[in-house]
Amino acid sequence: MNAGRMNRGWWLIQQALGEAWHLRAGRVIVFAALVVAAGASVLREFNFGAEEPRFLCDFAEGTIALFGTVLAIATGVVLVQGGLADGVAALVLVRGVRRHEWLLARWVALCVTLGWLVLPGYFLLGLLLAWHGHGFPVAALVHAGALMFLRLTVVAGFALLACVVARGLLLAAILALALTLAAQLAPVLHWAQQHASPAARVGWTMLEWLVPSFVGFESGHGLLRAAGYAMGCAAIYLAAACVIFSRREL
Amino acid sequence: MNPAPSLAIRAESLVKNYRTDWRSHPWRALDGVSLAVPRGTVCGLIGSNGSGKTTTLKVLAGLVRADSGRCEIDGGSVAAAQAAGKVGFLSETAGWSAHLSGREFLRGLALVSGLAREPAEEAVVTALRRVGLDGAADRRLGGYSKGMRQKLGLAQAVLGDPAVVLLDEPAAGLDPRASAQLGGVIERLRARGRTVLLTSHFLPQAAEWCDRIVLLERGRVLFAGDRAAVAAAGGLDRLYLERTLG
Repeated sequence: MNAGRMNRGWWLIQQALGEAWHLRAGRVIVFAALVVAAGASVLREFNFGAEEPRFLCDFAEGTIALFGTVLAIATGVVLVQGGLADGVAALVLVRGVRRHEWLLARWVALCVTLGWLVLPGYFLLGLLLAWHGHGFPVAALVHAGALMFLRLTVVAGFALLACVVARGLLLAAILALALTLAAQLAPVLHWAQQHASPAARVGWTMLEWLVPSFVGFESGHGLLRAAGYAMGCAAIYLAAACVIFSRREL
Repeated sequence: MNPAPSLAIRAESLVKNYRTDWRSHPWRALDGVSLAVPRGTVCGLIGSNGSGKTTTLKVLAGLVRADSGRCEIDGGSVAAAQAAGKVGFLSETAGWSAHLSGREFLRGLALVSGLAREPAEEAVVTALRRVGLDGAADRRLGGYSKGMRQKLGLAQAVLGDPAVVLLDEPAAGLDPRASAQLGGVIERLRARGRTVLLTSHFLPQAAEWCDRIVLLERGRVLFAGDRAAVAAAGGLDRLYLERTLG
């Protein structure tokens, strides 16, 4: 890759990051997520005993996963659909920027934006654990944070694919959410595949292949394997998005 | 060395069908449009709403793919012209990032065009000066008036001094003074040998600014000619009314 193209990619990412940073809804989502995650602390009086750290972690991780998904979809839809609708994308694309460069820059910016939630989210979780007398388990937090970040990069891939397939903000958001829910329900698909009749099993198996599973991003899973799986899923969804976007009329 | 082609824009038999959804019948936006715009001239695309003016510009800008036909910019493909920075484009629906200043917005576009920092800064200053926006260069775009945004659109279209400038309704939303300034910008582009293809609904302006006129209706070229041909047809108003109503 030559220096000119590297520079162009860097500027495209910077532009997308600037747009994401100035998106008020994104900042509200991050703030709300941190407030809700911190809310786990209020429930201390219920006295979960030995299960307290487990409860804290589950509550905070669930919050980050939920708000992270919302952040990925909302920001992704605004970055891509918004850019297409207001014509800024057209101004960039007539300057020799390739469509896949523009789209991939948006994905990178979206992943960085998700880091703005994951990083403080897990730092906050560490503080909560320390405050409750369970110490600050740096390695475990980094591991869990990385798994969460990888999961959200896949959601970001869903969001971008949905944006180039659907015409309109709402439809894109619904499609991205549907893909995310399907990935969340992957164990159910697997169960259905196991218990289906031989004829129906083909259909369930195909569906299982089409929809990635978030099971591998749950705490306790290996980081390397999860990273490989996330990159593979993101690559497939982004490649599909790039192919569709290359044929889309602006 | 090959001599520079005499035609800056050439389009042959462009056909484009749009489909609003998969059930609907395709709607033909371009039905065999052919264009030939000599280098260093200003050509106006006029026609009713939905006649195919914007689609023609978008095909030439590489934003829309024609179903059939071919087009060339400066003797090469549209993609090659884009990569070489030979095309400037002002979209009718261009929106702007409200958090940026005019200078920052143009700088971003110059940098993604592949210019290095210093040449990019120079190109931005030149473009802002050309459209008379240098006084408001550091204001946030959120505070720009419609006319100022239109000027900024023009500034980004001429950024980097492209050989071919495609302007979709450049005078929309401009007051008479800004409109006269726009005429000056177009005149200077022509004087420097640049080629301008613009769309307009305002016939007196088109008649004043353009060396050539192409009249489109329902995706077809009804008339194409220079000033003399327009005059021979009784003027642009008459030509437009006779050809589109008759």
